[in-house]
Amino acid sequence: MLSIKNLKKEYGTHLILDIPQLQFESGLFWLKGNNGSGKSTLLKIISGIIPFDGEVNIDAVDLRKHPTDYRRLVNYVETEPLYPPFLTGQDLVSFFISTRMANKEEVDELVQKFNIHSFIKNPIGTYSSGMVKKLSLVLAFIGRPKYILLDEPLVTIDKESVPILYELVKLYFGRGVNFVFTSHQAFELEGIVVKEMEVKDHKVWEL
Amino acid sequence: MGALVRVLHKVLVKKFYERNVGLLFFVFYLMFGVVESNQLINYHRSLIYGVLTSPVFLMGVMGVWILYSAKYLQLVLSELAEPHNQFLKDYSRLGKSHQFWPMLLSIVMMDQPVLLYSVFIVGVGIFSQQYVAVFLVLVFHFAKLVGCTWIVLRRVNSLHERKATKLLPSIQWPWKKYFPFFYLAHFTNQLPLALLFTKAFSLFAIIGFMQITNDHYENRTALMGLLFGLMAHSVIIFESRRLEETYLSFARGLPISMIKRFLFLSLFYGILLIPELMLLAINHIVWFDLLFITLFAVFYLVYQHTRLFRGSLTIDAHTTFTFGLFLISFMLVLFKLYWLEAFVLGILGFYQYERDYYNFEASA
Repeated sequence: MLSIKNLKKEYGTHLILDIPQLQFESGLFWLKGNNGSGKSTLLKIISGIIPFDGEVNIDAVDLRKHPTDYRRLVNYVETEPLYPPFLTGQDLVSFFISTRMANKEEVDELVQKFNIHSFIKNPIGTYSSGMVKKLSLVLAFIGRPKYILLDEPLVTIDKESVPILYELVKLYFGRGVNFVFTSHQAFELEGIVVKEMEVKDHKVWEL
Repeated sequence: MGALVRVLHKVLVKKFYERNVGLLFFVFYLMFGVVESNQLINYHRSLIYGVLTSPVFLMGVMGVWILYSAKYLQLVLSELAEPHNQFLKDYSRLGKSHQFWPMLLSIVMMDQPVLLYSVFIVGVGIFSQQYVAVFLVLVFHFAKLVGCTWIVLRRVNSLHERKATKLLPSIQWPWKKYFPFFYLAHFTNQLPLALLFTKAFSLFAIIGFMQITNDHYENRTALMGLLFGLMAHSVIIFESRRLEETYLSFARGLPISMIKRFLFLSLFYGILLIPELMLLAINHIVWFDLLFITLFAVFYLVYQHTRLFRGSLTIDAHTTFTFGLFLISFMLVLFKLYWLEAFVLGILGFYQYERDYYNFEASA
């Protein structure tokens, strides 16, 4: 279970989030909210990449006390990820495999599924935004995370990739992986209940 | 025009000075710090007479000025290729003369140190009736400023095309790159000129100081040269931090311990310093000294890098800090206490890295 306690996040003097208590049990969670409501900030906090006040833990693994173990349990992908243009997709995939101690064969399957094998050995600077997004989605599924956080995963990817993403979400959900995502489009996942939540007035409300 | 000048100043001029503070200090120190204050005017008068009366000397100085121009041109061209500066595409909608003057002013602002010294050269030249040399200096600067402005405008007007204009060809590594090499690949691919300049300055500084002859074994002269070289690396440090914030933010979410991250960083700077260390090794610095000099050099750079994680750090504070660290180190080297500084910088570097790495936020 992903648990948040007394979380507070400000940018300068501007309050973004003030969440006394929040829990994400197992499942798929769809975070809704207006632009600037704090959805992406919440995902960044949970992924452990930006500073905040409060406590965040997954199954008693605390982000502050056990940062490396915690980060092994969460994968996160941004809306518009930026990667070094001089690296190849393969460089990044190999780096993620080594840091997340992942199975190379499984990752090769992901690469095949998202159909990025044709350009993965080219420098990222030559990719279109859709190609970068596909690469980031492959990276999001690498390793053995308990939670995968997807910020606007449907943005910029082509129509053909959407069912592939749904299929992977279903597959990993079946393996016990939970998902928290933001999206302005509905996730059409047959047979899986998506729990809807809204980020509003600095808090997260169940819908 | 005022609004355009302000934008160009923030996007280009300010960044140039921020990233080259170390190098500019180094040059300033060489020009004005190594001579006793009562000899300063005579020293520069002789230097300027040399420039005005010797065509070879004048050409050499012009060569240095061209290198300086290449340095800011490299920065401007790489900045224009950045995604966050693509709004400058709109600049190309202006008429030619509306494009030219604000950009020329930005180029002049970046060329300021050279132009200021040239004012003195021209003044002394007119006073001593060296009119041909004065004319050459004026024509040179005019051609250089107009040429640089033209190169930058050409790039601005082709921003809608994806290809970038580079002064040096970038090197794309044919083999797989591992994490500490991400930084190095960034410099060989994106900023080869900055890397080349820094290494050239650094190696020349060591070679220069090693010319001071001693009748017994003395590693301090080499260390002083190395110290100047390390100061010139401030550009590399700034760019490495910028790389981390722009393109390596994803790495913050990866399960890598702080010790490992610190070792990666130290390894990067260690690899970067291989040419300097090899130069010292072939100049008969004994291996035991070389070991401590390596630790000193690596942690000197790592410490400055980790200090840049402090969100409240301003450019003024950093400028003072860079120069202050140099002066303290200079004294410690004189007293042969560099080994102590190596350990202190290593420990402090790791302490502030662990404390600030996850607390830093680019918007802070």
